Amino acid sequence: MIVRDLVRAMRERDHEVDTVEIPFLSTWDTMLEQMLAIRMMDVSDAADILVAIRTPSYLLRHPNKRLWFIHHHRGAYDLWGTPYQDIPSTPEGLAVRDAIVAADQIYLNEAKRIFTNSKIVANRLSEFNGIDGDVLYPPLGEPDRFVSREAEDYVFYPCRITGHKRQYLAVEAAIHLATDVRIVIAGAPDSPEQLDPLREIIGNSGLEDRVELIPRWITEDEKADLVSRSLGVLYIPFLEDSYGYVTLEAFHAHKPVITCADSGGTLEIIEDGVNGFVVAPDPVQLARAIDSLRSNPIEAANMGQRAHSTLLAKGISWDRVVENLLA
Amino acid sequence: MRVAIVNNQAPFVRGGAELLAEWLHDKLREYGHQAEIVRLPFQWNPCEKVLDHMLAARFVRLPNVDRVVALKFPAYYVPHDDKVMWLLHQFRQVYDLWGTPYQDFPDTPTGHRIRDAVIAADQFYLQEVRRIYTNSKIVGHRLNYYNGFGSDVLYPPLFDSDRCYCDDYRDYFFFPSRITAGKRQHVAAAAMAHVSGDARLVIAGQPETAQDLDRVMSVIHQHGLENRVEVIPRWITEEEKRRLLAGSRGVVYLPYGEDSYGYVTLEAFHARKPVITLADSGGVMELVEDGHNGRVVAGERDLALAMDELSGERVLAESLGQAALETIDRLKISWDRVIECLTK
Repeated sequence: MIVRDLVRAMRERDHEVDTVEIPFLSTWDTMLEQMLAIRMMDVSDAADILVAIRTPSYLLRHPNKRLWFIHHHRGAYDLWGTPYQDIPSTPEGLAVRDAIVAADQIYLNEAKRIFTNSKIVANRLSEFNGIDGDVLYPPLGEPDRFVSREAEDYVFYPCRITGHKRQYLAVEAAIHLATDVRIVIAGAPDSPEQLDPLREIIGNSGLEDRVELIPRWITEDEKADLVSRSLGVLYIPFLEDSYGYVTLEAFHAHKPVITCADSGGTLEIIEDGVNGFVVAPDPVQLARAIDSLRSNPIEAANMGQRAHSTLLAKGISWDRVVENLLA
Repeated sequence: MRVAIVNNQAPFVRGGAELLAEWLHDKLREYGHQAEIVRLPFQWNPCEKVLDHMLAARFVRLPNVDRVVALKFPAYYVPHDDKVMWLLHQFRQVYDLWGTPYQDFPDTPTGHRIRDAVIAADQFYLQEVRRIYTNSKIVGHRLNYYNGFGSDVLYPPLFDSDRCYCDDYRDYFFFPSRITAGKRQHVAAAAMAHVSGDARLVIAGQPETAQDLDRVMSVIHQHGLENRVEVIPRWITEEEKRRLLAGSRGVVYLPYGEDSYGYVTLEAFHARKPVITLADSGGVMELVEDGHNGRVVAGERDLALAMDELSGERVLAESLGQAALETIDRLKISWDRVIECLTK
């Protein structure tokens, strides 16, 4: 998505753009030869500037290479030693990990300029590779869809329904609400079973009037409409790298965002009490923040205003992205 | 079925192969398959790069794919258990173009070694392909001649042939194509000087360079053909093209030594128009049979005679045009067949 949006943004600014999308299979025992393949493919004469995005596309050689770094092969870096380590700790596996790190070390440094999509990723790049990257936040592809309308009586959580996005926390919060505020949750479930716990809490606690579940993929138009009429937006994933498009969509629509202290990248742009709320991942705390948007509509609107200003303050715009990547 | 269409990529360059890959992609989806286009960068200057890209293709993995349809060298080396080829062309520089003015590959010891390596790799790796189709007889013949592999011809259809139609056989011939020396619009214009009847010629297409347009215009001025030859020196829309095609007496298409029959020929046939071509136009002859669905002639004067004949006998144009339409069925040029062959 980020590639598609970037291509469009560059073309809108009268640059000629083509994309090179080389398939890459991340199974550890085939990665090195695929990396070699990318290194041997020559596009060095094809363009004035090469912008590499996904790992390990920066192995492509080019005399004027820029990097918009989204993430490492995390199984070899920050997820090493966690259950998400995807390379075995055998002599072969260790050799592959070392080779990945060594290759990154050499080829990341070929880039003339390095940007990351978040502070978290910039920190990792610094910690693991000793490379400094500037944060260049990815803007929305079509921000104009998201407009501000008068707030109704609900907060909105638009997101794929899956474990680490923690929709269950939002449903549990509904038990503790003190005002008449409603919670609307929309998104395609990763699997039908993802809906079971949500439906169970709703049924057991009689929350049918409080929680509206739209368990399917909604169109961009539906989503924009639901955001624009909401009191505010919930985005409470567990430990994401990036701030999430959901947050940006809300900010464009002048809506505050409620997130959790362990949500990761959202904390880079959401400030508690300024343009949203940052609360502990706890249903009671979450309910208190949601109630507060309903009982203080003027303050909620002010937070929404400041949320919109945050986009400018953080320089989240395609003008800035294109200018920096091509400077 | 999940199908990966594997093609080469030269960034910022789009040609017939890219178009065909996109058409195939859309049609596979229309027929209920999942499809993706995978493009592997390829460039062969300096010549040593060829070996790198061949090896790189061997290292690429295509997960979650049931069937690979490979179109070009060296992307067709990509390993997969279920690979079929719809070969558009091999690396012609080391095969049929070797030793010709178009070789464009160094005649040095290194060049020779790389040539041997390409031929050896084709020889070896094409064995793992389950079935080989080619886009024309000539490509199939070459593959057989140089490498000894058999293949079937699978002609690429038009993306939306239903849109071509016929509404009249007015007294003009239509030559739609990029204006360039190799397409020989200047020969068509020169022939008009020998036409004795009232036939006119309409040439339409984007000139590749200013000189390409000059070449045609100077022929027209030299013979005072301003009233007989109309040149539309720009890219015309599909609609304009189909309209001009629909009202024409026939199509003139004279590319020099092309591999493929050319979409122009196919468009003409769908619009029930006879095609006049030259004996050295290459792949066009795979479709056009002299006196059956068009005319195959040698030189300007014969070209003029053929136009005069069709101009004088509208019924002849109609009957050749009918045969042209039937040729498409006879050669089974259809997406039904392409999808069936590539997914069975």
